[in-house]
Amino acid sequence: MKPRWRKILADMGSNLPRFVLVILSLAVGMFAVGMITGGYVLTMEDMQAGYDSIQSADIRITTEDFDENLVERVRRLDGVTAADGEKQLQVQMLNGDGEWKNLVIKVLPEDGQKINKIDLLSGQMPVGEEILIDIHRDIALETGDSLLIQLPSGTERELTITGQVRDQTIGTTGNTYFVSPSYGYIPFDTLLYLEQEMTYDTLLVRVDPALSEDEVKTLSDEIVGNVEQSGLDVSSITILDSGSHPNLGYVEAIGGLLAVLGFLTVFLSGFLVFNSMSALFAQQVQYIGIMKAIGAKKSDIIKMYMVLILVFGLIALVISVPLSAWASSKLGDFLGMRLNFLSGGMRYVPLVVILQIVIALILPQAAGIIPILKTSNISVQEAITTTGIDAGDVGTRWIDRLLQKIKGLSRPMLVSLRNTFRRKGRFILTLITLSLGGAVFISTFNVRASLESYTYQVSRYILADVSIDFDRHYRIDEIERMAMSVDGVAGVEPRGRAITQLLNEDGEAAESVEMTGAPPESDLIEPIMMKGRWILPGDRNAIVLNEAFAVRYPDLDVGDTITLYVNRREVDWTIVGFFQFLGTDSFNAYVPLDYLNEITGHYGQAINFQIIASPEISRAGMQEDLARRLDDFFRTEGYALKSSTATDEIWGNATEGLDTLTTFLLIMSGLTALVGSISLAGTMGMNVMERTRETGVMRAIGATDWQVMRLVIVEGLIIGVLSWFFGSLLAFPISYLMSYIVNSSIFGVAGEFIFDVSGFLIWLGMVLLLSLLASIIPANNAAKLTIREVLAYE
Amino acid sequence: MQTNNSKENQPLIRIEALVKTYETNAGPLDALKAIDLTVYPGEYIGVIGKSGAGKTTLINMISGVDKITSGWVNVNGTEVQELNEDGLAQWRGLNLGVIYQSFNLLPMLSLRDNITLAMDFCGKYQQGKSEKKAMELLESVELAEHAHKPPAYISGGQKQRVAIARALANDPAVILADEPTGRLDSATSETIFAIFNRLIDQGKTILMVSHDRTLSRRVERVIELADGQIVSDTGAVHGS
Repeated sequence: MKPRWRKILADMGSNLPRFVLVILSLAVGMFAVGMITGGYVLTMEDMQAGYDSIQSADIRITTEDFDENLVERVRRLDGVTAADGEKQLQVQMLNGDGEWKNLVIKVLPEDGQKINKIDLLSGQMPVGEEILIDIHRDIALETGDSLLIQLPSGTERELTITGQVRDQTIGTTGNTYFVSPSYGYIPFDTLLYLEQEMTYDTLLVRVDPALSEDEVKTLSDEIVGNVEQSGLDVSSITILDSGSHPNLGYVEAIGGLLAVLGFLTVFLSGFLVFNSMSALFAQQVQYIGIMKAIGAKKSDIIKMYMVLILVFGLIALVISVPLSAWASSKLGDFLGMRLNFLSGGMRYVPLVVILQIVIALILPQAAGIIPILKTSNISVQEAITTTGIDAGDVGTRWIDRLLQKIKGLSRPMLVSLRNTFRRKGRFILTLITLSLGGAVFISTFNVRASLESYTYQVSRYILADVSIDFDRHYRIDEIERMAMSVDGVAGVEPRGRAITQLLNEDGEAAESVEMTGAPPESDLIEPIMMKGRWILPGDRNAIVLNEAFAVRYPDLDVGDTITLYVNRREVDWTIVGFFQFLGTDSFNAYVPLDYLNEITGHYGQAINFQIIASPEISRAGMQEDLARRLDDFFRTEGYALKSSTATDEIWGNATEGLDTLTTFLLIMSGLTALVGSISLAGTMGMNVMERTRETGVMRAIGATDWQVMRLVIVEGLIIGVLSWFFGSLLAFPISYLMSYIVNSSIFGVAGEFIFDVSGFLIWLGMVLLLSLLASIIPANNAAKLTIREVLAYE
Repeated sequence: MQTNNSKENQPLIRIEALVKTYETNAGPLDALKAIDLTVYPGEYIGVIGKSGAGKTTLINMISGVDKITSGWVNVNGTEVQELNEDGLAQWRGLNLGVIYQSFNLLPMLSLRDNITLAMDFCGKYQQGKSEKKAMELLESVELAEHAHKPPAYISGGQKQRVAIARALANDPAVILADEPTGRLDSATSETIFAIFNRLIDQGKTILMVSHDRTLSRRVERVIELADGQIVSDTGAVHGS
């Protein structure tokens, strides 16, 4: 090996901590980029592949009970590639914690699932009085345990759990994934045991993927025609996006955050590497001078150090590629678990590895070229006659003049303050790095606050404490009277529901609209209006539509008339407003309850009742207990109760999805804080190294160990506080961008921009702690030097 | 063994009207004021003078490590001021050996590698040969047994002997030494002078800078600088 390369190798050995810092800086950047891009690619790939494999339905039609003959007829239609019958029952189950919870039981088709297939994760398929349980809710029971369920009639049945499954279609219809109840899966034959007819009530259809959107609608109309020819009434028709997992919005939101994080990380890492390289080359100035004195050309010097940097990049690459692949897979596992898809495990994504190789080849060279050129340009004379290390001077710039005007501080404090600004370039880069890290950290809190604010606003659609659903309509005055007799009930408000259909161009029923009838004077709904107004007392055929209409039919406006197929007849409605809900693709509408009842013929009746608890119950947080008591009460009284749910429970489940994002945001903030503190540690280390001689002079004139340490620590803290200030300012645009990305992806709306003061305060505490930690080792090193060592330095 | 006959040859170093002015905050500072100097092969010259007289600046002008303000320097037929930085580095590596007061050895390399590095940059020897040559040079300064140690493990005098060996790596005609014994005690300094004497006997030309006036007893020719000018030049073979 040539001596010049031995010199490079020896450099690495003799100055290991600084080289490690440079490699670490690079590795952190490459790791973050690898984890971020890898995590995103793996998640998208796994989610898509998993969802493709289950053959999710393109069309879902609910109707009256039917048998396999109808399914077979639909299968034979042109354009249909598969059809399955399905049946769902809503029952109550006693979970392992002794609580009664809602359970939706899906019936597996007789001839096996061809559509909306479930993935068997453990155990075996059920036979007879057995059931599989979906893993998305923990029911505190295991395979082999007996599950007690209560049928709508009040009859109790026991089923043995034979295993766990993942059903990726949860959330495609009705409730979103996070508010969905537990799901169970039974064989077709078990229907009888559960007091059900051996029939289906839902038709699932997959169509030829080559069909256009319009052709799918036409085919859907044809299927509906077939169903109706069989003498069955269609309740709802839903055309689904079979290509997109129901939780894709969350992955997109995370992807958006990852993109912001990735960009910032490369930026931060670039600064960090530049800072570390500058320090490294500052140390090499004298050696470069010597080499030039004995015959090294500038090109020799540049080549030597570029190769050194290449080695850094390669070492960082070797460290970061497997680590980031592992972290990506863990991120994928985490998201898979939380967002209901099967993670494909650890694997290398060629695109990500190529990206990391490109970064390894470009980033360090780009960050290193300026310090290398700067150092290699120093004349031999300058390099040899000085130590080659410029500690930076307190000069005549405005900042220096300003600092000199500061009075009233102790001398050591003034020294720390002025030292902070001596190496202005390095100070600015460190400040930017730490400020950006802080800004991301603070922003994560703001994004979380923004999400929570939106969720809170959405929760204002259901201000009641308990929501009771019946299987059939009951007289409003009767249910009110009965409910009010239950201890803790302070008020009752009825809701009507109807599945209605939009009309296609031929005037036939097409996609379903879930219509809710509410009293216009209700104060249990606080809607978020996008346009127009809510229904008011005196309205008759007024309708307010959700954001799905605004997205799918942008021409619709307030004052327009929309015709819906309700209760087998066409009804014209006057649009009075558009409201924002959960960013769902499903069509929802609110209308005056009395008018809805007039159309459906359920005069003075309702199917859902909103219960207001007494202040004592609310204060004690006993809504779930009240829900359970109401459940018992109505079942005992012989009512066909479907469910009785505390609204707290609904929103508790809804925020689970947001918790995933929050956890993710915390990981983001941790990474940026790490990069920022490495940067600060590097800077403080360099500053101390450069000022070794000054430290010696101070020791020689009487400075104690602690006084020397304090100078360094205070300097670190000053940088920390300044970075907090600038980070707080930067947090405004970054929070806005991140909130926009997350809210748009999940709710389909920009959402409110909220500032959470706790983020600012926590980061202040953290940055002070990090500054202290980042300064303490360099400060200790400075204090450990003896005067002889220090003054002999050079 | 060289004889004084070699000193009859063409000049090895010719300096004419050499001016070096530094720009300082207090205004321009003339470090060298129109210096004329001729050095012949095999001469052993001591440049003496007080601090700030311009001794080191003169060495730097000859070695090309600092820019000439005006005038010209010709070393062995090469116009130093006409070379660019890379050209100067290569030329310096092949034609000059520079020795500094503070040794300037690379601490991360062994003694042998400090010497072979100079050969590596100039590409004069192949690797195996450069190592053999480095060992010969270390033997010549009686440090062969320390060849694989880093500089931190040897004394100041030993370091300066290694610096001399490194200066000879590419067998240059001229050795420039800037206060080579400035950091050494008198006993150690004697060993350095002994090596220099040997080099002169081998025909090398040495230009040595010192503030120590007793140097005049050890060299053949003494040039005294004061305020950037040559105030005396004694013992020159041809006069200058």
